[in-house]
Amino acid sequence: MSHILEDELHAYLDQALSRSRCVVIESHLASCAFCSSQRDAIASLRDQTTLLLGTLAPSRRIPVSLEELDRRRLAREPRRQRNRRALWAASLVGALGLGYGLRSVSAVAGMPDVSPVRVATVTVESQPATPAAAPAAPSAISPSVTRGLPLAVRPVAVATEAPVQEELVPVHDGSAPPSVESSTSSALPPDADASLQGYWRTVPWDRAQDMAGKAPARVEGVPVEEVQVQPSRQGGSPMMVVAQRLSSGEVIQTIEGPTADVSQLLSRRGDGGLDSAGRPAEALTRGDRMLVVTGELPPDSLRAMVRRVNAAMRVR
Amino acid sequence: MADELEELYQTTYTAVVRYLYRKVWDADRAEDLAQEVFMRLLAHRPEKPRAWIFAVAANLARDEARAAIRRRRHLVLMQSEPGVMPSRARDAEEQVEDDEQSQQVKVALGTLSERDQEVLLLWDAGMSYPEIAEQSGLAVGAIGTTLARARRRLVEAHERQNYHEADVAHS
Repeated sequence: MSHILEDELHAYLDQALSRSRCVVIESHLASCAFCSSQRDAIASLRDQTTLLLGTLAPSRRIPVSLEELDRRRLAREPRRQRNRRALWAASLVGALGLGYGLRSVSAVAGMPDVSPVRVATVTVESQPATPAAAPAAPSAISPSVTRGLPLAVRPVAVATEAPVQEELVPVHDGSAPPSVESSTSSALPPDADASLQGYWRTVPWDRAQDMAGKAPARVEGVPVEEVQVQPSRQGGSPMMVVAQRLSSGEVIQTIEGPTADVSQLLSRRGDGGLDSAGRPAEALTRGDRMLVVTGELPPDSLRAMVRRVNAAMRVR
Repeated sequence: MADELEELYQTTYTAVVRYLYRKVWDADRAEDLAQEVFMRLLAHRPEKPRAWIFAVAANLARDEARAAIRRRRHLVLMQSEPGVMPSRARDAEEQVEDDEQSQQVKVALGTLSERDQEVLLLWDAGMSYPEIAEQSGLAVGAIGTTLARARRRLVEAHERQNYHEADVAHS
């Protein structure tokens, strides 16, 4: 038998070889002086290494118990959860605030205007951060706003208008009775076309206004980055996606259009229109029109929207 | 599961601190990072906890190193910062010798390639060849070769350090 390789002797001394291989090596070492001395030299090198590395050790301290570490972990957990709840609530109130935008939606669709106050009645059961001013929730509404972007935002900067108002100004014109309802995007029409593709066009803000007949639905006070339009398959007003960039850099999208088209668009997303918590994305619908906002809004927006909702309700 | 984690904690914590110390060269920071590793372990409960622990520790140490570079602390790290505090009974001269020794080893370790260092430190932390292979991305069969080279180079580099120190002392 030829001599044993150096790296195998290292592995042998590190007990990293199979039992059968160890037996072979040991029987060889018993009869080979060269390999035996090699083994001793490697064992010495190994011990020396351990000794040297042993000098690079911090002082021994009594470690905290695992229970204590678990307590610390749990103590910092709620903070994260609180942050998530705040973001979630911001998204929800963002959606509520956008209800005001339904005025323009309804105008586009040729429907009567929508009362912002009535929109504020759209709320969610058992959600901690729902604005206090909002009346009791219609039960079993699963909230919220979809996360992520349903469409790939194309790198075309339009931003012909940057409506940077500090606050929304809800206007109630006292016309037709409001009838906004909350529904979920999971309620796809049975005849929805699963392959809804269409041709999206990026249009300037003015052009979008012309096409919609009014300012497209959006979150006011946030600069508009891009407006994408797709003609409705059912005719009538097109589906519009208004992309806006928050100060945090996140892009939110407001999608407004025929219910079937918007629902289909959401369902074509990888997550089937579900948010990160697995809840169906909530949308506001009226008649055959649907409005959805994606992304999370910052707490500042949340506070501003709550103030506006409260103010609007006081006026009423 | 809780008992297993407890046992793992008892048997691995010191090795993790030592492993991290040799990466960040700061005893307090090594302790903090080790605790962070185990807090994450409690949250994630991975299937192979031991390998997972060292993988996370390596990542944290890497992040720490990046942060240190950003803060331009790397020059400070090269200064001697022994983790061992002298006990009252300990001879101060002996302590100085130990500090010099650990500084020499630190310099010697720094002469190894990053991969050799990693494999050597993981081995010294008590990881098996397959675990080292998984974390380092090497084949299991290559671990013996890498360890052989790393050990030899560490000892040789340390001997060179000793000769150099002796030369300086004589001159």
